[in-house]
Amino acid sequence: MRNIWIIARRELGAIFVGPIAYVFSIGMLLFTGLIFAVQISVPVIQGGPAPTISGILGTFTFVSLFALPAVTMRLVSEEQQSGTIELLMTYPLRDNEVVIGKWLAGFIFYAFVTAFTLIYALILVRFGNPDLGPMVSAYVGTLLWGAALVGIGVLTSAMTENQIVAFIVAVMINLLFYLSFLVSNFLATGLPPALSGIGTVFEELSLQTHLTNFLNGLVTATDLLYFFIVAAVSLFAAARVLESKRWR
Amino acid sequence: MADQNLDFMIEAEQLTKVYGSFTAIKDITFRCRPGEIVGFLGPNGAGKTTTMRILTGYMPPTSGTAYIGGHDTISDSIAARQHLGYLPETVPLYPEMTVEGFLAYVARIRRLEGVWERVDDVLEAVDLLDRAESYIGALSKGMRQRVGLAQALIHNPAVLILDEPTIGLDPRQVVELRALIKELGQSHTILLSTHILSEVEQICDRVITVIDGRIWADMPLADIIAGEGEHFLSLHLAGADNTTTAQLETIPGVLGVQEGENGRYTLSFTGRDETRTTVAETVVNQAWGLLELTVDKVSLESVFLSKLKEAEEARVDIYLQAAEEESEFDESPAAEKTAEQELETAEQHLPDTAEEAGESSTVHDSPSDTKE
Repeated sequence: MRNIWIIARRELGAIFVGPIAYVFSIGMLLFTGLIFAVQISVPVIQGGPAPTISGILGTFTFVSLFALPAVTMRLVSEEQQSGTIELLMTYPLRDNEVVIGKWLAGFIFYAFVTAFTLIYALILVRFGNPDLGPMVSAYVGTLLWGAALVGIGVLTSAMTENQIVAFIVAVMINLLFYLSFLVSNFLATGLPPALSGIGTVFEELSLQTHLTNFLNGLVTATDLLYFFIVAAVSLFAAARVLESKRWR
Repeated sequence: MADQNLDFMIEAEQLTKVYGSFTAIKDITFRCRPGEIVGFLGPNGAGKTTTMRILTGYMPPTSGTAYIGGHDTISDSIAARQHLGYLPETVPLYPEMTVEGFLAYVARIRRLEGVWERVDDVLEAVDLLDRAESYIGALSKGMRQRVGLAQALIHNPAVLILDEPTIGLDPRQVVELRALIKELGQSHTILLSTHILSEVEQICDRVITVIDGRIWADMPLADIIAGEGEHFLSLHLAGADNTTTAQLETIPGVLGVQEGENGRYTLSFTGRDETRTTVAETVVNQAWGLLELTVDKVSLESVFLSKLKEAEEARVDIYLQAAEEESEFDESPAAEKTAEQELETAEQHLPDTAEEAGESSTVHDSPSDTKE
């Protein structure tokens, strides 16, 4: 545990030294701010339902599919490119500890940026009367989403010493996971009922399916487990990738 | 900490590493006793770094085993790594960290008590206290090298593995670093690689010579030099006559006499002290007017160069043989060409190494006062 925290601490320092952290934070606030402004303006002008935090977090999570890999791409790649991995791997640290420490740093950063959106939540609470339960579940879902995406980011970063490649591969994996619900929609209309199970598989694989429940105020064991498994499998694979590099 | 009663702190047993079709090292076996400073000598690409990476547990060998402080570097890797300080060849560091920040990070990984005191101690040891708060990215190459050494030393490891520690340093830094390594050698087992011969002569107790991934020699320095049969005496005489050469040749132990210009003579002899005293007596008794009598020491450099040449010739012979055999079956000159290329590389190696050795020995004689 202690080693994981030592790695995470150093990594957080490195994240905040670089410009990407700030570009990412500003971008995320810009997008969510725009959406928020539109969402509260429309009911005022036209009338209609009051905005919810889910709308903001829906935008936040969607943009992070593309933006978060920019933060995670350097986590392991940079060490491989600069050669510091040689020191790291000859220190008395286990490969698992290195990988989890890197993930933890990425996740803490994501949580930190997520916390900025609490401003919108506070405004909603101050001027409206929203249900607090769905708000909390939406935040839980957003954090779990980040945990999974950072896991995928660490995996792709471990695979290559080229940060750009790590970025592109992470975005592609994210999109595959995200869009698989579209495949299930398509299959639902085109397949005989006997084969509808295939559609369900794709639906269950989708990041979006499991996030939607959280955003709607629904917390289920399946959804919790889903994000946990995506993160855990990614990190396990990342540690094995790192281990296999020793043998080359 | 490592058991100090161990016979050997570093053990390499028949290490072999194969990358695809290229064998980087083959059957490397050696042991280092506690407190020994062992030089790992060889031309570039001889397999020094590969061997060191295996010893540090960075990569596993294709076959063979390695032990650090009695711990297997693969099966008991964490324990082995705890006893080890490693300075890689390229000294990779995090440019965005401060010197003390980085060393504190390493100290925490090493689970040291009193992190900041240790950081200060080790900064003092490598003479970087005044740059503690600088960013590593802003340091000169020599200072980075010392930061690298500091991270290897911070937990006071039983074993230090240093891959070309003095490369890229300015003359004054080289002298200082060598002195530091020598001092460290009193309480640590040190394996250091280099292709600079004078460095080995100055710091190391023992030299392991690696050429083409194999160990060519593993012996104390004194033995390498004494092992060469011929030693030379230079004589400069003011009043030599035409019988001098003949008379010198009759002295027991003298193997041959070469007459130079202006009363200069070069005697080859067996290296025994009696021969030298007899030569001196004869010269004085004959009243030849002795101006100068010096013993030309066989330098490690010349021994190494001859070894290297042997190795290259052996390799070229093998290629030529293979080329001949091949050309019996097919007339293509390609194989012949390989052998020629090998010869070329062999020739390129020699002046290169000699030059570097010469360069650094001048440095040693007159340490300059350049400030970095």
